Amino acid sequence: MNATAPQASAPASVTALSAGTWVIEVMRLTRWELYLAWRRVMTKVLIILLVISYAIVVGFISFAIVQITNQPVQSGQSFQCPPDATGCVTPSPQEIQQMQQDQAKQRAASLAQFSDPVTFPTSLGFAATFARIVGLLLICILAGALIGSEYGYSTQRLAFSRDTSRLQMLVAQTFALAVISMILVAGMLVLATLVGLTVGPALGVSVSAPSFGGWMEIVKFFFAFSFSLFAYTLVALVAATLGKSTVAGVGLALGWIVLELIVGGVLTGIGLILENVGQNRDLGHTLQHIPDWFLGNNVGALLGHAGQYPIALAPDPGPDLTFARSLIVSLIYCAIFFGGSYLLLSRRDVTE
Amino acid sequence: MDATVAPAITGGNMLAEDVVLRTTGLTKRYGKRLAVNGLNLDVRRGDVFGLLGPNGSGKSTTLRMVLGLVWPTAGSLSLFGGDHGESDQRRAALRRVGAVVEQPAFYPYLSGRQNLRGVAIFAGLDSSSETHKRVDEALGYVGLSDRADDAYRKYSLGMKQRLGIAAALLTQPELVVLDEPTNGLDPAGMVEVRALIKQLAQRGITVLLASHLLHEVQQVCTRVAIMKEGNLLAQGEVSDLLAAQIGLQLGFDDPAKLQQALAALQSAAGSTPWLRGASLTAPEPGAWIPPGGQLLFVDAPLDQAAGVNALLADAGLYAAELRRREGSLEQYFLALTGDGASASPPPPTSVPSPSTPQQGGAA
Ligand SMILES: Nc1ncnc2c1ncn2[C@@H]1O[C@H](COP(=O)(O)OP(=O)(O)O)[C@@H](O)[C@H]1O
Ligand SMILES: [Mg+2]
Repeated sequence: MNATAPQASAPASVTALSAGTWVIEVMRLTRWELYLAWRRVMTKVLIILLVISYAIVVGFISFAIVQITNQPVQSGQSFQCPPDATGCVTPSPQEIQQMQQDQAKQRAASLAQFSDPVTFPTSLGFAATFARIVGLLLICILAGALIGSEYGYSTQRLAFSRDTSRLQMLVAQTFALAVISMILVAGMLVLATLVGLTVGPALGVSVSAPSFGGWMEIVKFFFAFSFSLFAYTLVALVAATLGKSTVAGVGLALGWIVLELIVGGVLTGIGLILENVGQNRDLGHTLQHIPDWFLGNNVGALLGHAGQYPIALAPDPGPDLTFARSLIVSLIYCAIFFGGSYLLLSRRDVTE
Repeated sequence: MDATVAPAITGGNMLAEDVVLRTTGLTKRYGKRLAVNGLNLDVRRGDVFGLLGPNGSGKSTTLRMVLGLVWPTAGSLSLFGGDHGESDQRRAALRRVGAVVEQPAFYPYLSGRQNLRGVAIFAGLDSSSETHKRVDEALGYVGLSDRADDAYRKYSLGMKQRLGIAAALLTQPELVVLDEPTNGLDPAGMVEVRALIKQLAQRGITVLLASHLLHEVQQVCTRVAIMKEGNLLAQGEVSDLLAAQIGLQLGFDDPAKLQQALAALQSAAGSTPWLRGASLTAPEPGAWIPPGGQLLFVDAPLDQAAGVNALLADAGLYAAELRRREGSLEQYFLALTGDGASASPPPPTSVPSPSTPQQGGAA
């Protein structure tokens, strides 16, 4: 044979791969997936959209605050009856003082409602509320495109005709989605901190540094917040894998989100009516609690548990959705999404 | 000679390490469609192995099964002695393979260089400077150094093909799998790619090539398997297949005379040692077509033209044309698939797959 031919080598089974190699390869693949996400124009567009829409919301809130603070407190004069009025009793000076105090209280309350979103640390909680709507839509678009475009570009075969296994690829994609969720949340929290330290104080709201417990709450909140987005990127993962396209990934993930909102709202509404006006109280109660099994309600409850004390970054999840229960239900969802993707991918022929 | 299709059970008389790829009864169904039917292939170290067949004959499906992209419905496949059904063994074997599957596919928004770095990651290489050097070498080898930083989407079709080849060579493979590598290339590009394949062979790299271009396979391949509609029709050394095509070809002005000449030569074959046989055949494209549309093919050494003349003269028959026929895969292929107007039976060196219905043969 040819003198330069490679040495005839032993059967392939001898060079079995170690577990350590497997993990290192997955880490490299994860970095590659993140690189792919970063290099896409779409990513930058989505980031800009997110920042702009957040800025618009903050702008509206600031405007409302300015409006409230500039409302003049009614002077004592305005409480006096016009000269020709009949049946009008001019209030006593004490009564006027009382009314003015009530007004000031009301104003302080509505001011707090508007100033919390732009004041640190409560601004972090508002950022989560915002990102769980707008950020969630954008990250699902990104996730669906990242996974689905592998089919459109036929680039899957690059990996699978090499020694990258389908499980490795899926694990790497999942890790990448987790990292992307955390980056988005970290970015949102940084933005919210900046807003909270500048906009709030500029409008006259006082800022106090959180206690140690407050910082711990923020850390827990960060992870719960990231997880609440990550769980939905797995919907995009399984959808893109199922439909072998970006359109399927994005469409089904967004569809899932919207469906949860609509179905949840309708069930709660009908349940409330049945419970309060109809005779069928049990059915009403049951209907109201079906959404407790939805992914959104469970990751939301986790967020609530993480952000309770001392700052109260998130609303109280209520007594039904305990931390353990929400965690288990959310993890089962994630396991189903990941497992489903693996079943689809591992059995499938790559014919793109 | 017949060891070329020795089934895996007997193992033939080859050493195991000489067989790079062996498929046994390899079958793929897409739903009801049978894309590959009971394929038995042996690709040996150093072969430039051509998988030849018209579009839709199952070549790409076969290559995809070799590459672990498509799962076989039945049969088995062994690459570098490893069992392809075992994930670990398959992955270890695929480390030694580089491939271009159909049209090359890369991330359009990344540059050629970044795409190859990605391929390196998929191939289990680290992202060290040594890997980067390898990437640059591969780009240089296919002449893409100047355009390495341009986005892939801006590449011409020829450049895309070359990037595919660079990706295939990145890991210094022992087996290179190419699916229609000259598809979409201009003539100069085709010549370039074929020269490259020959270079690979000279470096001792085994090449498995699928093509529907008969002359391409004839030019570059040492061994060939001919497929049609998922079936393996024949497998063997290209030189053997061509040798079987060499012979003398006669044309007659009168179809009746043609039949008489056929009978005369067939009866003479028994008593004439150099005369191996005679059959009817179709003229090659562009050649003179005699009345009746058929020629007489005489399986005899080329220097026996006078002997053939003498035999025919003894029977009172005179040919309008007598010509030497050089071998061509095209002739062989037409004979085998029965696509010609009339076909000569497959030459004796052809090794029809036992599982396939014979489509060739005299019409
Ligand atoms: N993903 C697929 N789904 C269904 N049928 C397919 C698929 N891929 C290929 N085929 C069919 O399998 C047969 C073989 O195709 P292919 O292997 O691409 O042939 P070739 O590469 O020789 O042109 C064809 O009939 C083709 O239509
Ligand atoms: Mg093909």
